[in-house]
Amino acid sequence: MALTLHICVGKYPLSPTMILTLLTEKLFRTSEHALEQLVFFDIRLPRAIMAALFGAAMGVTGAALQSTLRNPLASPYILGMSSGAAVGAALSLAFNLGVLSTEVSAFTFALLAVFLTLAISSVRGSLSPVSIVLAGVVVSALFQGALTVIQIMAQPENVSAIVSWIVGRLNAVYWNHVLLSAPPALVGILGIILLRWRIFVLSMGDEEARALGVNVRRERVAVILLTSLAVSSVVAAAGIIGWVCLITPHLTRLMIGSDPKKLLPASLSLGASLLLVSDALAKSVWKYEIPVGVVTTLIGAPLFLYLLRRSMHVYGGWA
Amino acid sequence: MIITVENLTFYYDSIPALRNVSVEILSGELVTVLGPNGSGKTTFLKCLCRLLKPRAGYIRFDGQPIWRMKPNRFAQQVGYVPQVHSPSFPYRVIDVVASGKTPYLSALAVPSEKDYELAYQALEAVGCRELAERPYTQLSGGELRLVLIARALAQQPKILLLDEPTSHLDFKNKIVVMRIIKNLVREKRVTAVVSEHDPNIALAFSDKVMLMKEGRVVAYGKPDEVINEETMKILYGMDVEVISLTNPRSKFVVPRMLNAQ
Repeated sequence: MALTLHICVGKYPLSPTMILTLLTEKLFRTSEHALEQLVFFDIRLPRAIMAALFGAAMGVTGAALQSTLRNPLASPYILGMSSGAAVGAALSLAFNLGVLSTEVSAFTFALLAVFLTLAISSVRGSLSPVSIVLAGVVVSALFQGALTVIQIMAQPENVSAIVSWIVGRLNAVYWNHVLLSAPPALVGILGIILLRWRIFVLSMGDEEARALGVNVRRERVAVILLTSLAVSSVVAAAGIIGWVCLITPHLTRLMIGSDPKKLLPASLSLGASLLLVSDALAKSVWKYEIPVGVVTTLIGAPLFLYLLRRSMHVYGGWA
Repeated sequence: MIITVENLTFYYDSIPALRNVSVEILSGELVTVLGPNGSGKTTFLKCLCRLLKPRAGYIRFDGQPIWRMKPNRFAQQVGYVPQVHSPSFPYRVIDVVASGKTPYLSALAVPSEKDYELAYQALEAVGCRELAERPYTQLSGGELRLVLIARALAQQPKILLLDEPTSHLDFKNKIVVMRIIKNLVREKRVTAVVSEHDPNIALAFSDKVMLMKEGRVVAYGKPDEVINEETMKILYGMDVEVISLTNPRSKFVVPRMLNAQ
């Protein structure tokens, strides 16, 4: 439903029935509505799929990391992925390395940041949730610094490209982005959903998970690597859209409870719907498009505060 | 299962926590480990469930060295109930209990209906079936302790290791929890090792008592043989009086300092 809403809304409105007409036209290879076909197949559809994929990846990985790191404030970005991706993209944009290489470079640097985080946190062989989060904060700061340096060194017109990349840019997503990022993203998402019971057991704490026969270190690294794969590939294509990863798991828990078997699949669909709706708002509420990252932040931050207030008694352990 | 511990030695960095601990625990016995704070009780239990790797000596279950067993095979034999558990998210009680089935599941599997039925039975066994649907963040200390025992039961273990199961519990709940543990040992023929601070609980419920001080075993044997004025003086450096009641026939340890002016 959110998908249909998302596709129909925009500068050039399409009605839901028009989509059906267009689909049948495509099927029979006729083109009575050439312009509508162009808008639907080449602009709206890839953007909608990307939004859904992004939201799904963020919802599922956010929930998985919160459990794995036993931290309700954890998100994929806490591992340094977002700053890594930003540096990768900025490097490529600042020195005009070409269109496709921006994505590849963002993807590579996002993964690099995660590996750095894992390497730092495993120095003393611990790989405990606290050391991972601390290492992630350090790595993020490091890459933020690098990002600033790149922006200072870059040409002014490239700086604006960098900034618009960082705030998220679903509006510039086309089929090649979707085709590039979908396979690794789906692998990561599927892997995490398959591991959902282990992820739940990890949230019981390291010692207890070990007493239940779980290889804590191996499973935690597996979850983090699958997360990085999924998140890096969507972030590389669509920029850094915040808050979905943090809000979605909490919203899901409020809606269906903390059922360890359903939480991750439900976070997936809720994340996808949230981002589709946010992006539909982004392109329709104002005469110019608002970057979707701004919409998610504006909605997400107050919503998060509200949730935190409401659920304090439930999360008595930490709030 | 018989637990054989030989010359077990453990250090936290350079600080010794266990020194040459040797003990044999027979199948189906409830053994209480009694000793002052920092005497090595928790370290001993953690060595038994492989959470800590000893510096020297070994532990065998039915003759098999425990560090040669596969992690999930080991977890099918040994259930562990920690001293403190900090809940992370408000999971349903029954899901927490069902996590005890994890050692029987492959990495990608989720517990089946049958596994959940077993989890309900485990919850029933500790008398908490009615808690099944509650978020486990809202339980009282005593209820949470019982739920964690139920989770260990869902592992269908032959050995139960409980780290101070009576800590933070009220006057009555201490006895409720110990009674449940005692019944489990009787009915399911498991071997249980329990650390404890209260000599009277040890006297009332254990088959054997192991007295520990500064990482060493001071005495090991039947409770009323091991717990007396002398051993309590060694353990706690405090004068006590052991009094005997005839109805019910039982012994109690009373600290002398209660009467001191």
